[in-house]
Amino acid sequence: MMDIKSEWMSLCAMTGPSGGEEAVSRRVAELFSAYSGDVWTDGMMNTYARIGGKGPRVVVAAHIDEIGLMVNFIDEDGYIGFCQVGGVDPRILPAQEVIVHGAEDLYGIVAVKPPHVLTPEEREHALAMEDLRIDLGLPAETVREKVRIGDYITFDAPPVSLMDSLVASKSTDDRMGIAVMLEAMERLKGRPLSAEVIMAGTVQEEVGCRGAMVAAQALQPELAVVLDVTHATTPDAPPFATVDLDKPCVAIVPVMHQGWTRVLRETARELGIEISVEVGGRTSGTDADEIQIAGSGIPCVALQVPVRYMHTTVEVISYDVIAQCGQILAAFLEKVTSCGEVLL
Amino acid sequence: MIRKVTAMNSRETLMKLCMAFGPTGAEDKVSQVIEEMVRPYVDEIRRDAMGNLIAVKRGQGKGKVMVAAHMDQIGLMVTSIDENGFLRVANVGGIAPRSVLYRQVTFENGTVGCVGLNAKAPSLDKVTLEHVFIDIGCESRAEALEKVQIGDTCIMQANFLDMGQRMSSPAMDNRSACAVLVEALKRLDTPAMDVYGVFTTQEEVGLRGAKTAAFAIQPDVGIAVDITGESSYPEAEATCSMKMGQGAAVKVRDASVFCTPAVVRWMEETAKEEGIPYQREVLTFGGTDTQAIQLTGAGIPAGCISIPGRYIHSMCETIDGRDYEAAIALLAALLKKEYQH
Repeated sequence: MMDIKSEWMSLCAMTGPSGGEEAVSRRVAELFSAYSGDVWTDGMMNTYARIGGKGPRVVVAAHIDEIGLMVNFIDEDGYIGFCQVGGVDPRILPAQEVIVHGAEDLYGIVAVKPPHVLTPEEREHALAMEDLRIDLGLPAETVREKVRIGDYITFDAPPVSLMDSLVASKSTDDRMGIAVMLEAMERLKGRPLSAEVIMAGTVQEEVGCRGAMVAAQALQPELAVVLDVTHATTPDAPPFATVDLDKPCVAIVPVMHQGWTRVLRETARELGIEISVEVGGRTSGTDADEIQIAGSGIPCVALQVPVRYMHTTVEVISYDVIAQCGQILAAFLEKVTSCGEVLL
Repeated sequence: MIRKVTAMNSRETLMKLCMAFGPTGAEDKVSQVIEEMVRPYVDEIRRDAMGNLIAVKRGQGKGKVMVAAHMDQIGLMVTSIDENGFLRVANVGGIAPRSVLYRQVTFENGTVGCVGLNAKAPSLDKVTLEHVFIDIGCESRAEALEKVQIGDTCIMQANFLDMGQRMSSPAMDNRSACAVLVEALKRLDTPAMDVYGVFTTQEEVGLRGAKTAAFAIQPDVGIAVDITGESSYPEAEATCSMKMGQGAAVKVRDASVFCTPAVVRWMEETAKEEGIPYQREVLTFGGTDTQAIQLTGAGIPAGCISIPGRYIHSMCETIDGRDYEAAIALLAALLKKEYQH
């Protein structure tokens, strides 16, 4: 049996900023191949694995891209200016260790003034992204030779195991979804599954759910399950905006189909797994926002895993909850056909 | 070189297109001008329900390439007319209110006017379109209604400034790209792929024309042509690396798209092979038809050739003739080849 947790942690160590997911996509295809004989990748680098039978088509989507940076200019001294890829908070950047993916991978740091030389005003405010530079420690001409405008920059932050089953990684959001899929496929192995299930590792979610849009248009499923992260409680966050770190979560927002969301919650209850509910009044900030309105419309549900410190290099998640979500997903997919008469 | 006497050179093409009327949603006039220009050089011309003008040149069966250049320009739409005949307006596309003040405007039927500012309007940095009106020289609503209707859109008075190497016009975005596509179509002999030259509508309000065109054509690869930023004028953002006069820009990303890496490589390799000056482009804002093509159906490989420009979305959008010619040369070279990924 695959050691899914350690495979997933290796996957989190890989770099795959939005639009540059090629390597991660290839690795996801290899992992999927352990459970499916029908694995493919499309032109945008979305990766798919088909399992199950000839019943209703269900797409399970989790995005494999991560937030990052991109070179947008090189100054006279060889310091690199950059812009964001996805939502990067400039407050987390100073002194961050990064890799500039130039002609070769180059290690760098986000340059920062020591506190001793800051003016009182500077101490009061976080720096804006356009004022930050990356220092590669190389002569300017070497930088210009090896780095081009448009090269990706990613965070040099390998995943770390914390106490209990907690893991901190730069790409927990949303590669944890791939672990959920693998956990579900492990449980479904050798069992009859009548729904035609397509697991999809989607690209470019962080810049507008672009991979999922194309996946949904191409596959036109009858139902979609979106796996994404949500905000876990932290010391400084208001309780009404967060959920418990140690429980799976189901999203109740207008984007999600009410009937199928009920089935998802019942599935968890039948398994004896306690879940939280996240409530919202608008869109979900997940791939479901685009999948729901693709083609003639696709009902969506969202199964979420709470994460602390989202969009940082230390997104903390509980692997136990990932495994529970795998269990819920497997049971839900088995249920799709029996509920079909009512809902499909 | 001997050319047909009727043929326009590339600068004349650009000038003529900059002088044509065509705000978003009312692109008929510019579309007709383009149709006349390209008709002798293509096998088929049609229009779709969105008003996209699609010019097809058959190739040698190596697939389909769609090239999109949007023909719409930003403008102002009449929302109401007051009792003294002054027109109140809303923006069509992204217009900064202070860039339209005290300018001359033209409507499709030839009505002209001036953009005025309420006498008690706040200072320039606080001015919004609510403080702005158009004076078409009338004294009453009834008189104004004889010339202009609610919902009519005007453009900033068409103009083309030939400064030698550089050129300026309120319609440079995106007629310069339309001109690039026209000129590239003129240079096609036997393209490898079927070439769908699409002059798209409604780009300035959300890439709308390109979306339906790409859906209908389902090309194997898409190329958008558009204008981009540059940073060689006083106090320009250093965070933009494109420079005027340094060649056509090969887009890596803008706010709407990450160009398909294989298409970026195809463009860069072609430029190098042909000795065409080019620069890589990262634009942190703005959107282009590239996105609409890329996200069509099951996804289509797509990239973008840009012309670096200054003062974009103002009345004096300026480009450099060398970049314009480089963009034509790059597009023409790409269309001779087959796209392989």
